[in-house]
Amino acid sequence: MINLLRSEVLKFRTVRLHVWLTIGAVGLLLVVVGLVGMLSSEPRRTRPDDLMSLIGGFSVLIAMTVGVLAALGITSEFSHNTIRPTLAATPQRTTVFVAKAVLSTVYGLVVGAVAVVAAYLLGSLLLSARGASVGLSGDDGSLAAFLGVPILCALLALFGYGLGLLLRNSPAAVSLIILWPLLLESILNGVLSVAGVDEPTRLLPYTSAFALVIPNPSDAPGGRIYGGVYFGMFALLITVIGIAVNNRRDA
Amino acid sequence: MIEVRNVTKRFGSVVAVDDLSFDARPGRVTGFLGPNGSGKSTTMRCMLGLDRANAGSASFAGRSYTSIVNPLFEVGSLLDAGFVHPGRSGRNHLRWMAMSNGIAASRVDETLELVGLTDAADRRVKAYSLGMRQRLGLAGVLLGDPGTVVLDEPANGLDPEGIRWIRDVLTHLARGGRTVLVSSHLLAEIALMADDLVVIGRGRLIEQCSVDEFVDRHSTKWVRVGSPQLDAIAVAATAVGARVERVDGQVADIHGITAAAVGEIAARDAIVLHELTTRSESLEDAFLRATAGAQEFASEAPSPVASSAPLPPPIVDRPGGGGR
Repeated sequence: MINLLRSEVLKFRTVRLHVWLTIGAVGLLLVVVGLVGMLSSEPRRTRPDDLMSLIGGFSVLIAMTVGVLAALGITSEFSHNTIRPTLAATPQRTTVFVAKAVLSTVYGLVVGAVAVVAAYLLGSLLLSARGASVGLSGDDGSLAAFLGVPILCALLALFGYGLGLLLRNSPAAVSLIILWPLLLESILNGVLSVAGVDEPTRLLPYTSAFALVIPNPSDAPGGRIYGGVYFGMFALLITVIGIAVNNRRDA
Repeated sequence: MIEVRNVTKRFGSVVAVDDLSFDARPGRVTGFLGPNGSGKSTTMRCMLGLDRANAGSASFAGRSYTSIVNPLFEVGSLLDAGFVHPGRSGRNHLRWMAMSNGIAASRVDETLELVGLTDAADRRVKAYSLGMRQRLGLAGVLLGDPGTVVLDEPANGLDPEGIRWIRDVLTHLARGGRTVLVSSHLLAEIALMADDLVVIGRGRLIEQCSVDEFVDRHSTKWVRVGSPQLDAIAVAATAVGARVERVDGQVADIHGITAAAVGEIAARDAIVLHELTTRSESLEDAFLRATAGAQEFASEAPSPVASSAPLPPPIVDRPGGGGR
């Protein structure tokens, strides 16, 4: 399993698209935080948790990019037919697909951690220099949101990988990752509301997960932990179905 | 030793491989031959567990492929040289393969050198020619120095030099005691490298035998005679049941008799001969004859075998001349 994981890491990092998209996603967050830190008109009136609110809100885009990359990591194996030499080198399919799931999740966790740490350091450096009050606290939820960014990235990476494995098609998987919260869950939310379901957003896995990165997740009725666990279970289910389907299908 | 037993693979209502059984023996190159769409690639994918066979099994030295841990040490396979990420370098492609099976990184450089790709190893695969991709694929096959090699149309699209290179490599591997199974839809190509043949059509086994046996069994032979006394030899040959077709005034093709028999007739009757050679249909004709009716897709153009027009220049069997 260790050899397989090392091999999968090598495969992932030796495709330039993966590297550049990762750098781009983290870089974009740093640019936004940097601009806000430099151009904020009244830094002295900034609340300590404002920086984490900014990073948390923007990290949703990073998490989605990570999800897209995880999906592309597996769909490109099918589109380039490299899944065949992969499974010829390791014919135990479940082992291969689990290794890829672990890699995708760890990749999301690492990218999320690097992004949030770098963005927080940059933001606090710039804002503190201009006299703003910046800090992480358990009381205002900013620390929880800080920790939630890598977790959201990890879960979206697993979700993206699972979707990619299930669909085996890059455009379909990427579209679904982006449109799921914007379209599918919005429509579902409306339908559930009309049907009289109480607090329908708690039934929407993707939307629930956003509570992980918001300092004060007032819009998420289930709360931060509920949102993370619910979406995590959902992502895991998609992945398990993807593995089961691919164990039966021709490579 | 590769043993394929009763493998059947269906795609919906289409039976791609139909109860197919054959063996490939160690120390020999076994050519897996069949027209396009005959089920060669599907069979190979089923053998490697990439496609799920509806029935049957395949084993490599007694074990199914999917039960082998680190199979690159036991079975090297190349199904398509294009199954490589175009954005990855050749070296990195081999590195991930080696890593997945715990093969030392130094072996990557060794195999790159073996296939002559050392200088291009760090170039991205999308910049490789087809021949370079085939070489890279073969490097992957050789990574674990396996005892069994399975290659699907490795000479496809290669220039004559590349085909010769593949042929030499496969022959070398077989002479080293390895089991080599190589598919092709061209008998002429496979005949140059294979010792044994497994011929299939529409997913079914047509024949398993040696290349020589296959050619003997399926190609028509005749004797070409050149003589200033052609009438005399024609009469004598006809008298023993042969059929004579005149090519021109001094040359005739005689069917139903061997060159030796014609030579003896000529000696007995003191007939001067200018030419006495055994001729046969081309290997492609033999292949088409064997697989007639087993073509998945056939054009409406008249078949060279069925045509009444003169056959293309035949291949001449000369002693030691490598007639095939």
